[in-house]
Amino acid sequence: MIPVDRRAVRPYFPPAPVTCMKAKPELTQVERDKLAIPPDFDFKNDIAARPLESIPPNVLAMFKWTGIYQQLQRGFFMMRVRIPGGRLTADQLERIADLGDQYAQGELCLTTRQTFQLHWLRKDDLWKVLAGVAEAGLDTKNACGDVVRNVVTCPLQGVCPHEAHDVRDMLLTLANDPELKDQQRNLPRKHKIAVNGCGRACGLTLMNCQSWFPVQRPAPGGGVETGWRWYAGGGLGARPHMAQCIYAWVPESLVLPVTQACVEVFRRLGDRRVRANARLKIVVAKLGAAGFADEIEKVLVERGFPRLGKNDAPAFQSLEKLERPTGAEEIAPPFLVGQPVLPQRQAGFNTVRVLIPRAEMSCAQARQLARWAREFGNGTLMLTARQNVQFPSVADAQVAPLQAQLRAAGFVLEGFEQAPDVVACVGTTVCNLAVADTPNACRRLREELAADRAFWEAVGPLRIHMNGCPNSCAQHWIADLGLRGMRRRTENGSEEGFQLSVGGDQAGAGHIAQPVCETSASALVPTVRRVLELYLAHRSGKSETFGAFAQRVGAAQIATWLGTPAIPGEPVNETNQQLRAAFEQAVGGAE
Amino acid sequence: MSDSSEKILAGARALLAERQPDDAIAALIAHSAPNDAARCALLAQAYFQRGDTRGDVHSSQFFARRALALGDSSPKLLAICAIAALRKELFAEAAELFARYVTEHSTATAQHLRGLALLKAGRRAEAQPWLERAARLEPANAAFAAATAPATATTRSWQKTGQHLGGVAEQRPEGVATPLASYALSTLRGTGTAPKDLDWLAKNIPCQKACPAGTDIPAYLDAIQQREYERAYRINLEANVFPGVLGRVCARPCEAECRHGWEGLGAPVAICFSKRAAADHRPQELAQLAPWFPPTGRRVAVIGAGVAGLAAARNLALMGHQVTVFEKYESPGGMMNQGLPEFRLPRDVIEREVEQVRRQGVEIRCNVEIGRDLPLRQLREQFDAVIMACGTLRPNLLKLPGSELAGIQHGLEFLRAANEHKPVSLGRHVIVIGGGFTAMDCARTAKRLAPPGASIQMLYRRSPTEMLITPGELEELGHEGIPMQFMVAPVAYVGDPAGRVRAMRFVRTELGARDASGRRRPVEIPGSEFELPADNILLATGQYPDTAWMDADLRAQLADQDGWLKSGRAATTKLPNVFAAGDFATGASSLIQAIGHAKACARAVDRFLMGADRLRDGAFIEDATQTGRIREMDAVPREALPTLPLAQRTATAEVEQGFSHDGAETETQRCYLCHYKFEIDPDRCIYCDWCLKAKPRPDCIVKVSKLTHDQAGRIVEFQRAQATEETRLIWINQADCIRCRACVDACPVDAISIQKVSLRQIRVGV
Repeated sequence: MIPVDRRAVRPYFPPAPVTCMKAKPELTQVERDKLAIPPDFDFKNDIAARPLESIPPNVLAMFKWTGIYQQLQRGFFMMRVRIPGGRLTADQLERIADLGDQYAQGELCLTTRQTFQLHWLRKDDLWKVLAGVAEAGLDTKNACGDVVRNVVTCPLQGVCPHEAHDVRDMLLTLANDPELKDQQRNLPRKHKIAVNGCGRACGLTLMNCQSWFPVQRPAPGGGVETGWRWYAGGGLGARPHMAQCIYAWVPESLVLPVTQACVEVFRRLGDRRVRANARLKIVVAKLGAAGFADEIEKVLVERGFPRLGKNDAPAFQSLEKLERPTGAEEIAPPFLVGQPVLPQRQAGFNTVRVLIPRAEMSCAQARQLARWAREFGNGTLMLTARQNVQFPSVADAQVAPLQAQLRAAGFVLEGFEQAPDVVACVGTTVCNLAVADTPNACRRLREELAADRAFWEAVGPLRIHMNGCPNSCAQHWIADLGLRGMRRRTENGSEEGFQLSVGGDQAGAGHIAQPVCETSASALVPTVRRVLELYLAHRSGKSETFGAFAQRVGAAQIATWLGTPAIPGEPVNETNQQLRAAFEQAVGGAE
Repeated sequence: MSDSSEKILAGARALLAERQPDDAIAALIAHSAPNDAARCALLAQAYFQRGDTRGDVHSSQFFARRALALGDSSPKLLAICAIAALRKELFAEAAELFARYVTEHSTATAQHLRGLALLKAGRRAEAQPWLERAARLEPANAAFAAATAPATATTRSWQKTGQHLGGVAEQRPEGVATPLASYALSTLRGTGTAPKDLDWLAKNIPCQKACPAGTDIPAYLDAIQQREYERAYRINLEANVFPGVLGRVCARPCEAECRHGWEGLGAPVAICFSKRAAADHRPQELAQLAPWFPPTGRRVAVIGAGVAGLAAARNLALMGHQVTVFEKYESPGGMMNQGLPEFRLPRDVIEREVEQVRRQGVEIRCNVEIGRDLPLRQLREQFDAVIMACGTLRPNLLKLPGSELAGIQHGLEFLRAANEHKPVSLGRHVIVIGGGFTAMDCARTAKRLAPPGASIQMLYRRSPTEMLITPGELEELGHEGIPMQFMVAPVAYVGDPAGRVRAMRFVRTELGARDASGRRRPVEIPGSEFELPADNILLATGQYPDTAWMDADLRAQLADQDGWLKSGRAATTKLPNVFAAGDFATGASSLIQAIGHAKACARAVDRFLMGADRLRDGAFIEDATQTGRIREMDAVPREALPTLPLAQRTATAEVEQGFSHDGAETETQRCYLCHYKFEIDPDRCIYCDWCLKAKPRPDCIVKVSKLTHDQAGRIVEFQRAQATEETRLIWINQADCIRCRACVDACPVDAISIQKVSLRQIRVGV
């Protein structure tokens, strides 16, 4: 036991040196580290050659700029690959799978930013994995850290019937722009960009720091002209914000300059003193859409994009071409609502979807998928924000054979955007920040809901997202039904639980999920089922989705109907503590 | 398997046998990725051994599964997988795994766990034989019996308490009791008077606790930082009566306790000098306070117009009593102007603050000596209460051989003469004996008044750490060229034939056991005697209260033969309407201690006069959203006080020049503002640990499994949680908190509140 008034008193002190320094804010430790420690390391000759204990924690933290995090388990690391737009070739997937088998315990984990993470990497193997990733034509640079992260897109990018035109080129332009990728590497916080095919909610336009999608309108001289619409200021984390439309119209030639200007404004105005307030969303929220546009334009003017009429600059570079929104611009509802196969805009071809439960895939499974992508598709695969995999460009005649193969191998091909399609983070299994074992809860929830087909089909469209901490990597704030991990005290210790929220949405102006209740992990499954039963009982009709229902009646009403969820039995943490000795004996005596 | 691989496995097994799982893990992954069953199996065991800290249960299960997949099917791995499944409430899976290796011949524990998994999976009938057999095998095992007993709690819920603290953005209801014992205070907002409230103040605002007058130091430092000097001055005035005086000569017990001076946190805030800045930079008008109570018609006499007498008088006047102070000298102030040299304390500062006491309605009658001009008996009859605040005027003269020689003088006598600008005759060799406030002032005054080139020396029988002096004074002594000798005790005065002292004999000492004052007693070293030439010897060796002036019968009741009061340090005496304040009761101390004692005395008098306590202490709790302080202010060093150059130092020129506006602002910004309380709402905290990751001190936020309270509800101890599942609270250990706000900024669920908690004098019935 430690007494509460413990302290070291210095009864006598020498006179201070003569100074007259005003107390003023200085850089925080993280900001000092970012200036002092170059973000690119020699993982082969330096890092692998040093004992882990000799690498200071602030240096280890800078590994993030190479896509590498320390895993919860000391001595192991996680590496995130950078896959712009989530599209990769079968060859690339196979190479990643090889690396996974060799160095990452044979597992790959899909992320909500359309890429892979490899876990359980040893420090001394990091350079080998980096070399392997490079051999595959991919990299990990800026996959983590206070930089422009992996640029994402909608799941049907390039194939969707609603895509105004193929945005892949623009996506790669932004993803590989030297200023964004190589120069802007000391931002106040991470920066997330999306380039989507259209203004529907499939692309999660409202939750990214900045999002682009193409729009068309009648051209002044007749015909149709294509430009881009730009949103900025979205972001989830612990304090979610929805992006606002900053420009309703941006000519294609200005997309990259505006993106660069946005990152520069963020670099200048982001709050570097408090990391919780450092994201672009706070800058935009403080300035408002118009104020933020003013700042963008200041930077553009600095960079030689003068206003029309003030000099002889070419008209296409003028800021007058940046059109601010005149009304309330809204995001249309998503196109993806459960279709297992989607006919592409390329006639005769389809996208076949595969559901990856809890985003975990063995390397053997990855190799199977790669093989089938070559055999049945065009040799590419798409990783989606819902942590699933898609085969694009599967000819009509190949759809059934592909699905047959997938089914035979045990893959799940149904339940997209419905109860079985749960988005979940890695939780306390490997993450330093998590407080709840999300994969375990996810597994129990899926087993309950996915097994009852009649029930989940009756419920219909339902996006469940589960997060092990408030960081919202698994985007619980924008889910129809969001779950955020927590713990709560019991008589002896604390037990794991979740806060349940409803009504998150990326359509319209966006909607942040609102909390209904908190419950222990033990009672999570029956609580979720009960909420869904309440929906079935109280919805206005079969056409009213759970999300629409939640927004119509509100979280408070659902909470009233639900009451305080009952939890069966003793708190599991207390039972586990009581059994601690028995557990030890059981393993010790098992021969 | 290669020899090196076998060696790694053997080493890991040995480490596991010694229960060093972290080292075992490091060894197992040191050379290559653990892609073989043998290493995965040992990794599973290592993580299992680590316990239930986040990730460990998963890791043990993960590597056990890997080992099983790679071909190792040992029961140990099945047990690890089964237990992980049980812990994760995957009961069917656990039952299936136990079934793969647990038989009727397995250990009781294994059979019990198999039964338990079946029971929890809802297969009671299948579970029963396993549970019963385990109970038969180990009938004394209470856990086995408990598992088969009917569940006591079939259902429960996550009900929150009613009103709770909430986060920084919220306002708390006033006067509502806190719902949990783990809360730091008894009340959510408003005034708390429970023991835990006062205990919080004492433990968390160490400077205020150390101040005998209980001055709200963080509040006035905060006011100075905002350049609100008048507000800062009035906070002081109310608490300690003489802010301008104390801002110069206070003994500064507060600074020794200042949190900024704790180990690893730098130097304490210059509280005293900052206090002076408030007095210096405010408009130089007389300040008056509003009375605390209406007039009572009671009359109180105070004997002595020193700090204690005047402080008691001022507070009694604010309480509505009619107060008359009797002073035997021609001007009030006592030790302030008799004992303290002008170069440390300008006289206009004393006069202004004494006048402020007078303006509060206190009558001061000088040149009236109680005992000689007016007997104590008569005073008792004419007044409802009498306070004796007569200081310590009986000098402690060393009874050494030669003490009758001319040239030997008590330090206070010397200082009084110097301070009254009377002629002082000093020779070429002046020796000051002592190690306290008076010795310092004697030496520095003698330096100014002695002939040019004279030698002034201070000698002290203990070491510097035993000295009772103001911080920085010793350095100033050295700066002025006054040497000190420590660990030397006077033995005898040596005279010349004319009967005048010519030298002093000393013996060297070493420190022995601690005496009653807690300081180590000097022990003479035989044979180490030596002599120093001396024309004058100033004895700064202490002084005592003088009670000879009392009427004989009253003296017999009030004082012992040795002149000390029978009532000791208490404010009350053996006579009901006679009280004692300041040094007269406590013995010689500092000004601030005398003021603190006098304030307590005034409360005792008021209680006597009014028959009840009309004032009591409480914690005033206010909501706050910020403190105005940032973490980086810790890096600002302590501001040095400008002083007069040596060449300009005279007997009257003030040495310390005081802070400029900027200097005061910079220095007061350093204050941690300990009166702010940061507290986690246990009903809102989700145990994400983000505050723990942001915390600047090792123990400022801790994972706690248990808090221990005393009978009065005060939190006295905490027990650190060793594992996730036993963590009951994420708890701000406010004794170690430096009020940096990093936790508030890090908290993702707004579970941390900020409140300002101030010691307030509550007027009962008003």
